[in-house]
Amino acid sequence: MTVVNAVLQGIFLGAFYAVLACGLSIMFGVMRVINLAHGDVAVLGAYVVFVIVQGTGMSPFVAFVVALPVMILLGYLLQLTILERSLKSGILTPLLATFGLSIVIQNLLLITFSPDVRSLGENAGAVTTSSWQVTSGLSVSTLGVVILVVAVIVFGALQLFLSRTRAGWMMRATAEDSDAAELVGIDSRGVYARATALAVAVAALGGLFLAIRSVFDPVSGPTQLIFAFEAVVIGGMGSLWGTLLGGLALGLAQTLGAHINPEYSALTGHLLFLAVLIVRYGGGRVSFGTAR
Amino acid sequence: MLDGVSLSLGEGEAVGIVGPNGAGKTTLLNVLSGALAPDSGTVGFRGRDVTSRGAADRCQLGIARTHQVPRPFIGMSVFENVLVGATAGGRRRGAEAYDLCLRVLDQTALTLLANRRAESLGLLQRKRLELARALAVEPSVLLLDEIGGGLTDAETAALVETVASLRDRGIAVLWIEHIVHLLIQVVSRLVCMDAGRIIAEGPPDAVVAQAAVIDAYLGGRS
Repeated sequence: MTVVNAVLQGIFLGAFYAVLACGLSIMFGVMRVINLAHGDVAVLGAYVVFVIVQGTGMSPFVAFVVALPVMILLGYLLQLTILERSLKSGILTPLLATFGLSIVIQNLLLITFSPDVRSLGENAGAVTTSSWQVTSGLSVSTLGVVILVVAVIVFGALQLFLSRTRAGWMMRATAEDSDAAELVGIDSRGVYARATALAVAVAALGGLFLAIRSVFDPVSGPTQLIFAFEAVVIGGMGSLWGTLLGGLALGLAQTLGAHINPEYSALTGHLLFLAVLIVRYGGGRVSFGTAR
Repeated sequence: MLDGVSLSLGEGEAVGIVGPNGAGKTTLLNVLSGALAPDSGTVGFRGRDVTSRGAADRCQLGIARTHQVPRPFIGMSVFENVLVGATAGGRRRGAEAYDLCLRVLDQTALTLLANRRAESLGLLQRKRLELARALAVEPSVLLLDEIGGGLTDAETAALVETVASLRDRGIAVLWIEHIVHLLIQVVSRLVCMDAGRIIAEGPPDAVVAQAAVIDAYLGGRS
């Protein structure tokens, strides 16, 4: 029963990673930008929700809905002010620009909120503590189910957006060939801004789940970025459903590792990531090298 | 490289461009479509100066082009490729956009391939898709970059008929093509370029004759 438990926990944890990774996947897929500030953007989202909860006493879930327009606006501004300029100067510049942004966000959060560790778990009410007792040895946490359901809804909604709406078609066309897309009348600046806004909004959702299911502080971002990045790479860069599967695989690897020994949790996740990297990107080269 | 090129195109007029490789034909199309900004000079459209407008803007105004090497959105279906043109550049919505796409697919003989991913198309089919995507924009100016190469006689005849019908509907067509006998069935004016300049311009027969003279003097350069 405990293995089944570990698998369930892994799926719930993986759904959280998938939500975290979703925005990273969107930005890479559409703009070929690896946003090194993605984790910090998620943590920033958590702080925006935190401020609203502190100020009004509303539930974090309601506060997130209030925070959403703020985060979408931030996404637009991020694209129009920083990314658009850096995208024009090669592939290394956006990487450096987002790395710089990561440091700026962390320090602004440190100055504003102090290094104290925070959590929104208590504010979220019964959802964080309640669970369904399936059998004596197996219980399913409500929060885990909520995160899993939301993750599936987010990815499903994105799929519908990309395949059924005008803005979605334009985003896919721009992702494939932005120059050719310009020549059929698609303004790539607008598409990029929309993609970034979407990515930041979903990152904030990841930040909300981080704040509710555990704790966060101003420098939590890079850790979240690593897990998100691993989920994207495991699932295949630029593939949306792959990112969901990659998140689930990472979550499963971590909880199954922890099931063997609690110290192995992060390690097994990293090992899965490395294995995928070697098999997908390095294996061919290695075998070619030895064959010659 | 373009050097002092001056060219005007009237409504419903078809103009052909010929010239050796490297003459600046595709560069001219890039400047007209907005893919390249000229160092000097202007691009005007219906009395407006559009030199500073980007490619997307110009497309929405009604300037569409095809690429010499087709650039379909390979991960999307043929229908979606055309639909993007109709909804973005053509600014059509809903059922109107779908109807337009069906018409364009029919016109370019792509209806049966509508649900195939563009990735799976062969070169000639990709060329047809390139034309279809440009037509879906409902352009008033159509810039064609070597869409006739490699076609069979029957396909060539169909292409000539398609372009002629577009011209007759009032669309201005600027067509780069190496196959001169194909061009002169449609165009009323032929422009011969070399080294970024226009070296001959006028009625097709006269330009073909003149080009032959130039070739004779300077040695076969094409």
